[in-house]
Amino acid sequence: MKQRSRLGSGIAVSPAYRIVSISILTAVTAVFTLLIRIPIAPTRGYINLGDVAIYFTAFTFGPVTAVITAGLGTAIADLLSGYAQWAPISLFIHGLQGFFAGLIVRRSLLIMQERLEKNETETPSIPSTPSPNRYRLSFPVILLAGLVGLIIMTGFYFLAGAALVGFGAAAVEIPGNIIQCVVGTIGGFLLTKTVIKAYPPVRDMFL
Amino acid sequence: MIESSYHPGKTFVHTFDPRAKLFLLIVYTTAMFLPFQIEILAVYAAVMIILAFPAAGIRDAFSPLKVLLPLIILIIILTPPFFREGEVLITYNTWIILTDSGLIRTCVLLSRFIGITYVFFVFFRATPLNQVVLTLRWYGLPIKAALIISMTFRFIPNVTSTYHRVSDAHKLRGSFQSGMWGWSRLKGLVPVLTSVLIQTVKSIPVMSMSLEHRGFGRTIRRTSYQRLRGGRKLFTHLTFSIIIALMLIAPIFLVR
Repeated sequence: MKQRSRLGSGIAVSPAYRIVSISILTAVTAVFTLLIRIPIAPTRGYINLGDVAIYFTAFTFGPVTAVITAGLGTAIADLLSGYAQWAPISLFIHGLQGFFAGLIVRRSLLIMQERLEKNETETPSIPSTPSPNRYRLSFPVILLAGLVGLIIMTGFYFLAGAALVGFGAAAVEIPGNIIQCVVGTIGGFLLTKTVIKAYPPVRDMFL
Repeated sequence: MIESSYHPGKTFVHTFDPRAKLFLLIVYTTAMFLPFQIEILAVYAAVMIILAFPAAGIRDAFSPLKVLLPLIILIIILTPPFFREGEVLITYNTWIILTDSGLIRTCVLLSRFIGITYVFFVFFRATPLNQVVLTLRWYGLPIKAALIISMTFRFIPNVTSTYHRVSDAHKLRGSFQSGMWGWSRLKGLVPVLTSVLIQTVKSIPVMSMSLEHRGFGRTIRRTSYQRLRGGRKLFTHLTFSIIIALMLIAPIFLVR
C-alpha cells in the first residue's frame, strides 16, 4: 500500500497507523461533542467541545485526518445523542471546517519549512534542524484558521438550518455557533500548545 | 452509550432488511424537500410518527418531539414574519402577524422537520449499528472506511472512561470542579483534556501495530467483514421498498 511521509520528517506512515489515528481522533471528537459541555450561562446555555477536538486535530494531524475525524466524529455524536437528522449535515460542515483549518496550518508549515531549508543552503555551516523543531504555530495562522472555520460553520449551518427549519429559527443558532467556534479555536490552540509541551512527539505527527 | 440508539424488537420495522431501510431513508428525506402540497407532507410526517410506535415503543416514540420542542416553537414564532404576502389572518394594530402563505410555510417546515427527525429516529431505533456498517459495506463503502467507523465505536468507551478517570483525579486534587461555568470551566478543563489527549495519542502506535499483526496492510488480508445475506428476502424487501419509494415521489407527477 502507498505510504505517505509526515511533514518534513521523511518518516513513513503505515496505512494502519493512519487508520488507527483517524479512528482514535474520531472517537475523541465524538466524546468531546457528546460528553464535555461548558455552561455559558447560569441558566441553561451549553456549548460542546467538539470544535476544540476538531481544531486540535487540524493543528496537530493535518487536513486529511481532520476532514474525516471532524465530519465523522460530530456525525456520530449527533447519531448517539438523538439528533440523527443533523448527522449528514454535521458530517459535511465540520468535515469542511476541519479540512480548511488543517490546510491553512499545513500551508504555513510548508512555507516555514521552505524558508528554513533555503536558509540552510545559504549558510551550510549551520547543521540541518530536525523536523519537529519546524513545527511552529503562529498567531495569525491560528486566527485565519479559526476565522475560516467560523465562516464555514456558521454559514453552512445557517443555510442547512434555513432549508430544514426556516430562516428565522436558523438565525437564532448563529450566536451559539459563533461562540462555539471561537471557544473551539482558543481551546484547540491551548490544547495543542499544552499537549506538545507535555508530549513533544506530537509535533512529528502532522501529515 | 453506544447502543443507546437501538431499541431491540421483533416488529416488521426491525425485521425489514437494513439495506431496504437505508434506501427508503434516503428517498424519504429527499421526498420531504420536494415541492409537495402541505397535506401530502403532513401525511408523510404522520406516517413516520406512527412507525415510531413499533420501532421504539409507546413511551419512547414521543421522545424526539420533547427534545425538539424548543426548535418547533421557534419555527412557529419566527417563520410567519418572513411571509407577508397572501390573505392576512392575524393582525395586531397595523402589524401583520400571520398570513395564509406564512401559515402554509410554517406547516411545511414543521412537517419536513418532524418527518426527517422521525425517519432517522425510526431507522436507528430499529437497526443495530453493526448492521448499519454492514449495510454501508454492501452499498460499496471501502473496507478502510468501514474499519474506521467500527474502530471509532470501539474506542468511544475507552476515551470516555479515560476522561472520567482523569477528571475524577483532578477533582480530588481540587483543580477542577464541576460547578464552574464559562471561561473558568474551560480553563479548568485544559489540564484534564491535555491528559486525555496525551493518553489517547500515545495509544496510536500500539494500536496500529496490533492492526498490522492482524494482517492489515498485507497483500492477503486475514480478517474481513461478514456479508449481509441476499436471497429471496432481500429481493422481496428491496422490491417492496422500491414500490414505497415510487409511491412517495408519485404525488409530484399526479397532484398539481
